[in-house]
Amino acid sequence: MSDRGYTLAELLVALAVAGIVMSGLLSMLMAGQQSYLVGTNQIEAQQNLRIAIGRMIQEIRLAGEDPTKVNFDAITNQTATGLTIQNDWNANGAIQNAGTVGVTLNDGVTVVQRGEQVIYSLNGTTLMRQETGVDNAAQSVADGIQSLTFTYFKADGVTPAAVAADVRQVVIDIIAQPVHQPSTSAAGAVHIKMTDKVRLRNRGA
Amino acid sequence: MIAVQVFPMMTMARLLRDERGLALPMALLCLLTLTGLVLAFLTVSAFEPQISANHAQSTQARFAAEAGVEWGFDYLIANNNWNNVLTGATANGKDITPAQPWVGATATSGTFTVSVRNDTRASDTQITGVAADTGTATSDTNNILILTATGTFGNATRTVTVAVKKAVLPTINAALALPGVQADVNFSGSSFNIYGTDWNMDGSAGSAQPVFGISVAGGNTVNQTTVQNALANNQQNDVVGISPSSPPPPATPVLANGDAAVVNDYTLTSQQVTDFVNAIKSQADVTIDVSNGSMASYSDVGSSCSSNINSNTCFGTTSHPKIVYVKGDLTNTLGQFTGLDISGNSTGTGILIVEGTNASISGDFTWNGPIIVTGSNVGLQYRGGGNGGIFGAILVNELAQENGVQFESDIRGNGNIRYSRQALDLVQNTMGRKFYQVYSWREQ
Repeated sequence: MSDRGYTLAELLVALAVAGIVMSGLLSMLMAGQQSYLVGTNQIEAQQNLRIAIGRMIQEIRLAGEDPTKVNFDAITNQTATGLTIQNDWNANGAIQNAGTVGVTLNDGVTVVQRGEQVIYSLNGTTLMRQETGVDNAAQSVADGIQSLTFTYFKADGVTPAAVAADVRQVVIDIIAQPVHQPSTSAAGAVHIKMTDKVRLRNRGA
Repeated sequence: MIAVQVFPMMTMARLLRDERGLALPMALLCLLTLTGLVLAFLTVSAFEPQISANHAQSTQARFAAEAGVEWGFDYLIANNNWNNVLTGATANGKDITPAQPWVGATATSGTFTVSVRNDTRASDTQITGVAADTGTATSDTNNILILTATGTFGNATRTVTVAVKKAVLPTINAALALPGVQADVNFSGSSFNIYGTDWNMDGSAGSAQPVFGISVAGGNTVNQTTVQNALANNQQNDVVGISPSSPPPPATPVLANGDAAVVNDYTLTSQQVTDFVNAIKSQADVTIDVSNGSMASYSDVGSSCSSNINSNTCFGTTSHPKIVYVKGDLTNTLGQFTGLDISGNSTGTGILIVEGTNASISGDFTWNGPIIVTGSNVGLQYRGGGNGGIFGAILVNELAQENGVQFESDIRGNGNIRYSRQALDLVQNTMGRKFYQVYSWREQ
């Protein structure tokens, strides 16, 4: 057997073969890495969005509880990016814009402190929520909100509600992204959009 | 014994130089890296399907609970004697249905249970908006119940609590009832008729117990005298009703006419009328907003019913009665204005509510059901013509005590006001769902 070593041709062939194999492996690795980034970012954005929209939907759905029928506005200060939800929890015929009221749950025993106004607003890319009395300042609900649009309708769900008193349905369009959004989709940049229409149960819509 | 293999020096050097088989470890290394990435990804994403599943299940459970509310609402309408519904209930209520799916679905789509209780807890005020029922767990006295529907789907459970309120048409005690603080009336001519005897809607005599011809608030002899003084001698026969001294059923009722048919009576109160209007006006089929200087004028009301029952100029038929609510904006208790004017050949069936303004009705006008005029400085001018008339009753509920003479009722021409149990029953029985209201929707 010869001990003269490899020839140049053998080395080049070996390098070429190794290069082909490595480039294949590299592309697989990059694809896997991209899938991972997109997947994790999508999950992050989706979870942020679900928390944000889920909480808003529930509170808007129950807005305007008015046991004494004074007919205050269920939704006020309504803009494209914010609104105030009102409930007369203690049935005194007025909305308290400060402090909390004790709300007795259906078991007749448990009392929770609630504010009669809940304000949702968008601060940059952060969805903020402030419940009067409960929160001293607006609290962050979800980050990475790229856009938020509220649209207000009358009971028919078609006619826009020009004034607060007419609001019976609210459509929420919200787009979110990861808090640290990569610059390109190849690097895992994603956008998640959710839309929902909420009917105000306490306003007979 | 241990065997030791000794490699010659040449063999060892060859082994060290031999690079065959390098591809396998490299491939394994890459595979390991990729596997690590995949595992990391799966670790993060494995929660996502579970979160989604939980979300879907809770949403479906809420749908089931909402279906339960609708089911319970229908149940309370169908079983309108709520004390029967509450039989056997405790302070925490009673279940009125076992777990069941909603109509047209199977249990795989979710199920709901519904319970009902009387609003006797002090804290129920927060839900109902009124003082707690002074009755018991089995005895409802304020026509409000608390209904709880629990929806279940998979592992998720959602509960919706609502209050259900029942409006009760007040006991109408006269063909023309004036239970408010004032009862200034004007009668013109002697062709009008106010009959407290029972009539059918086709103009034939009914068989129900008669009521008074004209009533005012119980104990208010001033208003009673005011009405009696407004009746001229030649108008005495135009007002007929049961005599206050008539023996109770089943004895044959004794009728009275003229001044004797004008009675102050406690059966119908101003508050009852106000409460009833407040309870049902939000259920109106037709709502007409009027203001001073912006009167709503209608001619030949009801002519559109045959082509479009949902038309706003169709004020109901006997097969499709409606609640028509005319809402005035009278806030100045010293003034008054006419916000509704109906003329021509007009018909309607249901409940006509006029609040905060005056109404003027003329022409050949036929209405089946009660006409309620309520608020401050309100009144009804009824100038009948043709063969029409009001079958049911007129209730004018004046809430303001003004100094001048502003008529609560001005009856002219050949206007006919005929008490009709048939028309009132039609309204009560066929408009049932409108008399019930779900409110204070809460989720847990």
